[in-house]
Amino acid sequence: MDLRGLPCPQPVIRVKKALEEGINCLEVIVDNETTLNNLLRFASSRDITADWTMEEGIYKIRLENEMKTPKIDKDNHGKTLFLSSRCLGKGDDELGGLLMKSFLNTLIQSPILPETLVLMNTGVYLACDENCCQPLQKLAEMGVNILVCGTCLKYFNLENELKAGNISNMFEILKYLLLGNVTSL
Amino acid sequence: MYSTEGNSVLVQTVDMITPILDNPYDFGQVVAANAISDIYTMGCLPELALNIIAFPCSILPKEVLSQILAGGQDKAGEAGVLIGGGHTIEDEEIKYGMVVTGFGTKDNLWRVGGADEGDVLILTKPIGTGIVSTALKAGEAPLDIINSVAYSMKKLNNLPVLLKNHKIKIKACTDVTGFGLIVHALSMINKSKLGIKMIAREIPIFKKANELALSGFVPGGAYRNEKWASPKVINNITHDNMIFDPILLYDPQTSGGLLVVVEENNAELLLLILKEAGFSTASIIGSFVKDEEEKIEII
Repeated sequence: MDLRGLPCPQPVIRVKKALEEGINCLEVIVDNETTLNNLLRFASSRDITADWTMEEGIYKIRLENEMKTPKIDKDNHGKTLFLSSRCLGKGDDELGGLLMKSFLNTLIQSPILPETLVLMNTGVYLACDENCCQPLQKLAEMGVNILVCGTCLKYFNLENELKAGNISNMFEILKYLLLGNVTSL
Repeated sequence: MYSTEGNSVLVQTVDMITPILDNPYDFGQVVAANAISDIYTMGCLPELALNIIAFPCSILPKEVLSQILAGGQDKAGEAGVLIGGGHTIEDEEIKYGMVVTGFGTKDNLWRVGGADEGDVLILTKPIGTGIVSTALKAGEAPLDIINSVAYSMKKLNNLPVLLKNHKIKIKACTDVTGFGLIVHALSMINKSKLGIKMIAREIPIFKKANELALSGFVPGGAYRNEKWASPKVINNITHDNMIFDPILLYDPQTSGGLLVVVEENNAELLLLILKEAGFSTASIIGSFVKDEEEKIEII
């Protein structure tokens, strides 16, 4: 975003809007120190990483919206479900797919919900495929923390297809697997 | 300042600002309160004023101008000031100010310097008007906050009137305006052997001003003030006492409060008088100390 020439506080408003629209990484060009300082203030108040450089009176600021990593409490006994495939069980894939669908639809009606649901490998399809993402969308609405492996999304070229849950990384996922009460399916 | 016959002096001041509120009548009142404040700051009483106005007659309706002037007129009237006339020019942006004339007595003039070791520093209004009005321009300031800032900016700094029947000696006085709290406080110890110990927790701040500062609605003047003053500021605030973004200390104020210096044993009475007069957030924000010459230590 080239915000040169805009009087303060316009640049802050523009950046705020862009981030609210879901842009996670932004490079901003501004031409005065006040705007630079205000953008850095804005970033630090929202846990956004900001790096900047100055060249010939022009400031380039790189803003990166870090993924919000919720703190995991060791004493919290919420269950983590680890789904590493779009199929439930090994063997026949067609049966596996049907079983998974049935599993998720039953889970929605279950009185006990997992706190976190981790999707990896082909499991990420469950949060992207239009035919089976509804149960996950519902679970997310019900407050289940759905973590979707970012590397897997990239591998399957599904980055823009995510319909439920939040993109996560191995670091965050590992914490849940090590500290939580985990069931792998 | 001009000495007239005997003990009396004539003081004159001029101040002009661009709009900081959307309501023209309110803006007019702020201009008058802001301009008249300079007279009160010297311990004098304002008597006469002249308007100076720049207004885009071809863009804005005349009604806006008459609302602004009505605000100025009413506030001046409240202060007992007669507006004798004025001058208007055509300009792209609204500007409104006043030349104010007042009278005082030689032996009771308040000056910026004059504090002694052990005296206390009182601030009569909250700080944060620059930040809130920057957020207002961005459409990000909540209405109730705008209203409380407007109320404060419209309030006359009429301390000399409040003290007419009291025998409290004001050792020094200034008002907090464009240079922000710290720079105006520094001016009170300029070329003295004193420093100021300021207590962050005691400094009154407008509700939400801190949040707006952290969100990046800080006017450029605040950064300039900070840059200029920071070599003279010793920041010893502990984490627990740091309840606001330090940039607020440098925020340029419009019609800000008075910084009043009195002996410690007069402080409670003065606070009582101020609170009774509606300066509900007035508080003792620091004291004058011997060490740290010409510096402000914030704790």
